[in-house]
Amino acid sequence: MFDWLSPWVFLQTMLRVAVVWLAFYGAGKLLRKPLRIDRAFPLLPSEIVGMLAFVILTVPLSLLGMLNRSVCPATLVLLAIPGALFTYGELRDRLPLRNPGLLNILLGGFLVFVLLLSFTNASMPNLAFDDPLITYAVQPDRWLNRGRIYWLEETVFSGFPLLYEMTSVWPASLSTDRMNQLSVLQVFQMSMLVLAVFRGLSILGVKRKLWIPVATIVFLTTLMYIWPAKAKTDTMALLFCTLAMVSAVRQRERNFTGSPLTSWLYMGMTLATKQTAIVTLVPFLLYSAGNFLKYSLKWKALALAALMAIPGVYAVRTVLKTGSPVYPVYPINSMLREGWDFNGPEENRLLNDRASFIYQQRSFPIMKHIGIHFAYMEGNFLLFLAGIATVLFLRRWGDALLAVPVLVYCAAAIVVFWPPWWGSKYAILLYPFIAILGARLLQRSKAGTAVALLLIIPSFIIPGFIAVAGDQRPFAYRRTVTESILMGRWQSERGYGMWLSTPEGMTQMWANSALPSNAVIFSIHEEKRYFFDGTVVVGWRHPLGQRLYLENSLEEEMAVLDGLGVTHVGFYRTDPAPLEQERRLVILDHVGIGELLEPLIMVDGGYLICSYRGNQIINPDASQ
Amino acid sequence: MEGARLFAQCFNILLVTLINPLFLFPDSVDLVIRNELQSTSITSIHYLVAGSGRMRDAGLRGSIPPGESASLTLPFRFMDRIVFLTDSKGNYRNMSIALSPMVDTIAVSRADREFGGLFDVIMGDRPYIIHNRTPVPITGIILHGDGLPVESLIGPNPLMTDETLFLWLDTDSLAFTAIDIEGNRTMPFEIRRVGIAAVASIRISAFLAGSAKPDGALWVINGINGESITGIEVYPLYDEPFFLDLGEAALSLWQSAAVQYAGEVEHIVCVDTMGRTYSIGKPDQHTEAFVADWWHLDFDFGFPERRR
Repeated sequence: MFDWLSPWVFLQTMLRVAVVWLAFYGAGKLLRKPLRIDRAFPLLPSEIVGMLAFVILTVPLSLLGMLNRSVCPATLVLLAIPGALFTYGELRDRLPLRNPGLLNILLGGFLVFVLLLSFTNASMPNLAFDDPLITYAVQPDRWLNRGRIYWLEETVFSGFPLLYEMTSVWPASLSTDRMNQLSVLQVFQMSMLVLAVFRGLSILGVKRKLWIPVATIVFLTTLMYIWPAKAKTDTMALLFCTLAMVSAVRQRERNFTGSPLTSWLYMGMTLATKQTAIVTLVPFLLYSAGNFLKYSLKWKALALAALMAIPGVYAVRTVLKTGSPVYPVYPINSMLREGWDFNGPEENRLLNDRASFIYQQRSFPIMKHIGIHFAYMEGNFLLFLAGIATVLFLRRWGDALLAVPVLVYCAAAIVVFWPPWWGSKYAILLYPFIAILGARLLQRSKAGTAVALLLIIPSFIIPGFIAVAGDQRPFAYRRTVTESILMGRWQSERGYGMWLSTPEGMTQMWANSALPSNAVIFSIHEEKRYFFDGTVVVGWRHPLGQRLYLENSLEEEMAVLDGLGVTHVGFYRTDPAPLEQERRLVILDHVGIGELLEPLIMVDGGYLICSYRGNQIINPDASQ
Repeated sequence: MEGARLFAQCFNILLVTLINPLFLFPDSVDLVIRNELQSTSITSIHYLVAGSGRMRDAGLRGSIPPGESASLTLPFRFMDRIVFLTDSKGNYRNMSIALSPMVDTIAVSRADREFGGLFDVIMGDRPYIIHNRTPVPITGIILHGDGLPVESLIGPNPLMTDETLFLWLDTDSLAFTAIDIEGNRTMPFEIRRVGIAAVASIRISAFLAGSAKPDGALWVINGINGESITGIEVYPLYDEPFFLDLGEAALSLWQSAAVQYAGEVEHIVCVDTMGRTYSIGKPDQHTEAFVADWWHLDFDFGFPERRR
């Protein structure tokens, strides 16, 4: 279980992720000329071309039942060879021959140190955070088990656009076991942040001497330490969103000639990765609208096609299954097929609505909410402010206008993801772009580089040693994680725990060894499913399971469980459901030996797994 | 826990002795109890004033049918818990209640059920506290003594590992037997009360009928309900590992085996009938035996196609 706590495993994980990127890059380089990528999408780098090629490749492999842990790694390694050769050639040509100077060496060394903090953190499997263990790491894992992409009937999240999942199949296929798979996927996400920053700086034409300060500031940001270290869609959406924004700004410039489709394709890829990224359309359209109106009808159609092509594929797939193109987030209810109505129980809706009375202790004055939103951005916002101040001082009004879409986006994000203490995590998609745009504006001044360098200091000191707006990851914590991994032993003396798991997660690890693989666990509230080979139906998240939470008779509740083929039911022993939801769950009157729900094991922390004996109670012969 | 209890006690003393002479607060308050249970009547109500250690009867007259309410008068104190007994199985409770000097209403619903953690059986006002410290569910607790119920105290809902039964009973001593999920009985426990509370822990040793660790050997006990141990791998600290095949003599629950090895051991691995393994690093401090139980089951993180 603690295999990941080792420098060698960390290096192996980094190597696996490097192989994936080399394969993407190799494939992209090989396809670039024959597909005339430069003509249609001149701002699309080879690794993204390769990534898309690999995503497309999952379809025939899936149809042939060959999307497995043998064919995928072989394909990756095969294409990583040309990727490594291309990379070597490029590095040889591009590395500067002159002495970099002491300051650059120091700054470069500090950036490597900051990257080490982030990547070691990403390599630590996060067993406490729900989302990857509910769906994002689950779907690639299950597909690889079966050799094909399929709709997981027990989870509504199969209705999501799946660009992240289809990409993640590739790094996942290189992992040694499920624990290592989480680690690889997390490091893969962190590597996307590196790509977002440096490709963004490159596309937007930011001077090279600003690259290290900007990258350092982005990686020091607390939320950029936390979220890209999770095996979920956010960082991939952040990558595409950053590239969409920088491409849109780049395509506005007078000296840009060629096809303007790249930014539209990137924006489509963002939407095909994360449904809630739709808010980033606001700044994107503000940057793109002026040019779009000047396009000919043909280019307008092509731009819209580039935007809609990839998310459209997923929308069609979801329509065919559920009736609504966007499911389960913001489904079009009138289009939903029978049985796909999605009405979570009132208690769960209240819990998920952070503006509800449950969270009234955090109902701050509006100015504080706005302050929280901007404070979360930390150094990125400082760069942005410095950039705006620079162009305003220089009276470069055209440049200053570039800040407007960002501010409009912030207003939209505050409103849509209200309240900001919770919703700011959805706004991170623009953080690197905000920093990059700030650097771009800052470089108009001769003192720009010095200012960027100075901004590293508060970006490091304030979140590292003083205070942050949300969850803290002070320097002492980051150092503990990195030292623990590099020394192969958790450094508990500094007082930080590993947060290794939660009871329901441990229960599934137990269940995977103890219960038959065809078992179906109905979870009354908790959502994790990653570690269990069998099926976990999260009742309140499942269109069929939700009927259990209505006012029912015991027979009706049993019919719901029987209809789902449930063999076990899981809940916290002392508090089975949130708020007072137990009022409606008649079946909870029947917990006991010889009863409908027979307690099997209670894992540390009080999570209980019961055998569901509905069939045996109704028909005693069935138990023989 | 002790700190909280002490705080509550001090708070109550402060309230009664210092502030109450000023007549700022009443001695007692009215409380309305509304029964929101379906087809279950509340038959009696008991309360435990924080720090007092005694479960008092609230003096409910008659019962409260579903959908109806009744009024009670309770002392104006911080309540550790109020327990509602019903005419069907299972108790209901409210924990940590600061009563209001105004008339409060407590609605009793299924959300208040004693689902687990701790259970109350109320036959008096002083507690016997019984912990399950075994790795298996305890399904029965039988009292011995004249005038005491002959059936199990705990009904169908078992006392899971680390859960606690509060038996409120006004005797100065108690004898009982615990029954595990496979029907095994402990030797009779006898507890004598010192002060208000008396505590008993049901441990593995209670099921071993006096067996003890053999000298110069490792002792391995099966603590897994519903599963037998068929083999034991011993990983000595310095010598080569070795495997003991139990063959026909597979250990069922609470059976034990002595492994003749006198050196230090890094860990042992027990293998069950399905080939699952249980790695145990150190012996149980009470029995000095390596106890295989569900908590030592080794997790398998391997992908299905590579599963051993």
